[in-house]
Amino acid sequence: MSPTGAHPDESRPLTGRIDAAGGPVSLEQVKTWSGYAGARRAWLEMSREEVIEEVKAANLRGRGGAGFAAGVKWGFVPSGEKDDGGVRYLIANCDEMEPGTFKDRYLLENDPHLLIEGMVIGARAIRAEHGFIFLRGEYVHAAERLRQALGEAEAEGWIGDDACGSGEPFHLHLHLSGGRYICGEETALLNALEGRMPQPRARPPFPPASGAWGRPTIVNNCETLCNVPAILRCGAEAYTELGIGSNSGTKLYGVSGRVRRPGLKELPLGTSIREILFEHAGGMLEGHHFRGLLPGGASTDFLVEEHLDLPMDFESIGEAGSRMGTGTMVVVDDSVCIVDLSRNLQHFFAQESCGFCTPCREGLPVLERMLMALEEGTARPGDLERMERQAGFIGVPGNTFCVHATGAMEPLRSALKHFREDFEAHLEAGGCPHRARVGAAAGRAS
Amino acid sequence: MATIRIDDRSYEVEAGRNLLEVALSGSIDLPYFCWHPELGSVGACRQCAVMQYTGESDETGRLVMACMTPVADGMRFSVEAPHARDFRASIIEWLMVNHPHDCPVCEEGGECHLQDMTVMTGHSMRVYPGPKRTWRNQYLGPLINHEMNRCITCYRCVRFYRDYAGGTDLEDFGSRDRVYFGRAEDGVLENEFSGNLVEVCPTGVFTDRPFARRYTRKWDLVSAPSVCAGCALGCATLAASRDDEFRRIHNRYHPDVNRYFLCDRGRFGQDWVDGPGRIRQVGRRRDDGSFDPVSAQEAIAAIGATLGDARVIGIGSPRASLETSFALARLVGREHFCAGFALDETEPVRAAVAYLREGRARIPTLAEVESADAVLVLGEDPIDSAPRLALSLRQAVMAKARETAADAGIAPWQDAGVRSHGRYSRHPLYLATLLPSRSADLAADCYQGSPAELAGLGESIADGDPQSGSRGQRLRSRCGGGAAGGRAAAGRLRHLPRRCLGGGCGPVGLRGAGRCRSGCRLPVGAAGGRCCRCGPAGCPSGRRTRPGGRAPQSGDGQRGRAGRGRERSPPPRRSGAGAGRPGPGRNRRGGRCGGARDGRGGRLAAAGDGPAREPGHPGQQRGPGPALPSGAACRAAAASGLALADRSGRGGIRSGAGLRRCRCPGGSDRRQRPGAGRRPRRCAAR
Repeated sequence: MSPTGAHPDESRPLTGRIDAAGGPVSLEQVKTWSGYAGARRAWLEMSREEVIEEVKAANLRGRGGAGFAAGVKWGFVPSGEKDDGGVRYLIANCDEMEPGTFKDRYLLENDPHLLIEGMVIGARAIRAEHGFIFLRGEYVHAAERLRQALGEAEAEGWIGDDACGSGEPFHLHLHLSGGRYICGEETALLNALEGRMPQPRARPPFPPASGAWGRPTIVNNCETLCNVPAILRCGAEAYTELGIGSNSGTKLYGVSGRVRRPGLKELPLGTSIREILFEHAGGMLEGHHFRGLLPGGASTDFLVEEHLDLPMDFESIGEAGSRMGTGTMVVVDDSVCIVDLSRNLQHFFAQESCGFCTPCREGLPVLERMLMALEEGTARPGDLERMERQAGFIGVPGNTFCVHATGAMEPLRSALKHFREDFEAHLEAGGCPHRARVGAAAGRAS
Repeated sequence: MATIRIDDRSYEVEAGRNLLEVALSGSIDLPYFCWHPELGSVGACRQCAVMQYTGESDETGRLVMACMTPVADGMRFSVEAPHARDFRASIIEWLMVNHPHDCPVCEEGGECHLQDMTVMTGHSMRVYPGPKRTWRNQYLGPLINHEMNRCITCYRCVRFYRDYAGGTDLEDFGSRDRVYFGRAEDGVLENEFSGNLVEVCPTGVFTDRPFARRYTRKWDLVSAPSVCAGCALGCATLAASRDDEFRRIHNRYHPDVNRYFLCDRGRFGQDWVDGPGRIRQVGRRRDDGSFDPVSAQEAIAAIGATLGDARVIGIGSPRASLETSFALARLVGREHFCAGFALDETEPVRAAVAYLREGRARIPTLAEVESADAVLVLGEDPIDSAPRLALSLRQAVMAKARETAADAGIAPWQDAGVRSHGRYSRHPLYLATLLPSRSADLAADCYQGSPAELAGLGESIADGDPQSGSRGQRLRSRCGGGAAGGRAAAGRLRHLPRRCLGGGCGPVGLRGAGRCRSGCRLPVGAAGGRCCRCGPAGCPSGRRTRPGGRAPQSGDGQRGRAGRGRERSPPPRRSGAGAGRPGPGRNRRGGRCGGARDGRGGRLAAAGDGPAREPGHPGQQRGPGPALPSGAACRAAAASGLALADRSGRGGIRSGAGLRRCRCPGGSDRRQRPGAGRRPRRCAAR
């Protein structure tokens, strides 16, 4: 291992190297730009407890959607007397299938060593012998880059029987998912990894106590783990200062929809929605007007005009009745039929249900059909109330086995709340007025 | 104990149990599908939702699934809260979206759990206008019918078949609202307990195929409690008939025996009840083969006339009931009565009965088997000779998972959690069999040997290893001493028989765990390789007459067996465990299927073996209902040669399926009409 230089942009620990390289970061560039400095510090200079404390102090919150503190999660793994000395697993959840979300893909395709270093540090913290990168099957290019990077890391001695020269083993494996949205759920992911039906597991037992193959397992989101190297390299304090207000670190925000510059941008956690949308994404395209946005992928509640000045962080978005989710917002403009969008999303969620519990398995297709009926003009009076009632039953955490269906209800229930007039217009017009309007416009144009 | 409140009524309940169990025990109507008392909770159907309130002031509450909620002191719930009722109605509505409304022609009609729950929940109007999903059904063999369109995806079938019974050929396929429960391809279900799918399925996906051969509606059935005659276990069953014909067997709950499940042989193997070969009444067979019914008095008179003053002996059958045997013995006189055992079978049985009476051995109930820390099965493959025992053995092995899960704070009824966390935890099971056992996937270790070797192994266990010092007691304590003991016993299992093989174990019967070394040929029971009668001083009955036997010598108990028995003749190779079926009746496939063929385990002589049903078996005494036709009575009826004695039994003649024959004075042969247990026992003709 050669000595390393400084990171090109410490204020952007996730994408600094990618921007400096102007694209995929090569092994030489990794080594030049602080390659595995954090991992070496964790393995060679710190105890496990110190690593966990450092991450706790950095207040690193999970970037997968729930926002659970990563250090606290690592601390759940049995330690001391409760540690039976057996094998443990660290899993990177890169099964990025949330509609509108593409942040992990960007990181993995351009700087896979960032994730690997994060996992090497995580393995140190929880004493994991094996790690798995659970990658969405369709991410072929990311898989290619990861395979190459894993080979490089092994050759460099960062992983393997003697991880980072510590004398302890950490083996890292790449697993390509079969391609189900539910595999991104922590325990369904474990089942899928074991070769079982990807259905969520009952809790308890919780994965830190009994996860993959019945052993203590930590599952972290890809972006979460990518934040870890900077914490270990620069220290928790420096990392905390990167965020705005009580938030720490940076976040890879994404914007999709009819905006001028859709894409990803690494910004301090807590940047306001308005700034992300109108400064970094360049605002709405000519001729399109903002109606609302799904802040963190498809399974989050709509936010509307009045919410634009909220900081994009876990607390503020939560207080506004939505979730930050993955932090990659889907912007909805006036050219989009909200009912059709809802039907599209419900179709997706109904398709991706694992089929275990009734409300999700049977309820989502029923709702999808109701929305379809609205679109087709076959809806009957009372359908909106029926839809609201059923969505209210499905959409409460605990009413379903896992939060898949709960997440599915978030855009639908919030659409019924914020854009109810659209639904009523469908019912009154006996079909999609939007489509009729667009169709008429198209007719005039031709 | 904990005090909880459900809808403003207080209940004293056991803390830690799940609310659904508690509510059902408290006679609260709460619908459910995926939960099953034997299979536990998984929380799949979300049907048993109730409101839970956090305190006295909490008015809103939140929905919880009763089956997944452990109760604790001071908890407050509401089953009747409008929100909970609405939610449950919605669940039923969703389940019924794809369920065909073919109830009038459905085989499950009349005892359909889904039908009951739908009515209970109040969902009576279909509002969903969409089409229903359809499936292609599979051929699952001659016993089970498959109708997937009716499936409500409660996952009970795979949880029973795969998780509980260890079946490998029924799975859940697919995802979302297209989950298919079936085999990878058409074919006969392989598991020996597949028939339980009929009862486990809450609706008509898996139905009783033989039952559906003839038109029957379930409400037309006349049912009576019965006891299965299939093997020595005596599972409680419910036999049903229609139009004086046997139609089906259903499980009848018995806490110590079969609880909720039967084996397929018990469920589907009862067609002999109406078989054409069965003699149903007293009669006389002419020389030309014709059979003329006559009255009992006439028959006895005819026999008397035929026999004159000749000496008469009565040879019964070990498959006959006690009542039958008693009647025959009374008819011919005790001194002229033979129970039908060969002499070398009679003695072990007598000895075994003596053991049991003296309290030196005990036959565990299936419930006790399931609570064992370690199990050794010697000389039998229970899946053949007593299938329901094999299912209990599986539960005994898997019970370790619950212990492991309990350490992690997972309640035993949390089925998915227990199976996930305790997936590698198993209590040790050791199998010593003649042929490869089908329960081998469960076993910590298997041993296969000849009957002599198996007997030698049993003898070694009863006797203790001559080379290990404190002998039998130590080994026995190890066998029952949990995992560590189990491992020790496994070690024994590997090397003991080899030693026996080298030394020769002497002549033994297949089911004997070794014979008394005094030479009296009784099975080994006491320490020192002797039967329970023969002390160190030798055999009190002076039975040491067997060729090759030798007089007892001091120090026998301590000496190794090497060399002993060399002078003896080699053990007679017997196959077939069927008692009282000498010679040609034996199954030539070896001991494996002997019990299966004749339906008798003949288990009394097997040391450390599973439960056998004997006169004192609780299975026959604790069952509810009026005096039950015993399994033995059924066997008696089957043994056609004993029709005469059967007829003379008191309390009316019982047929195998548990139906009563009319007791009216004229002795009409018609069977009783509906309500056999309660109504006057008169046939419909009168």
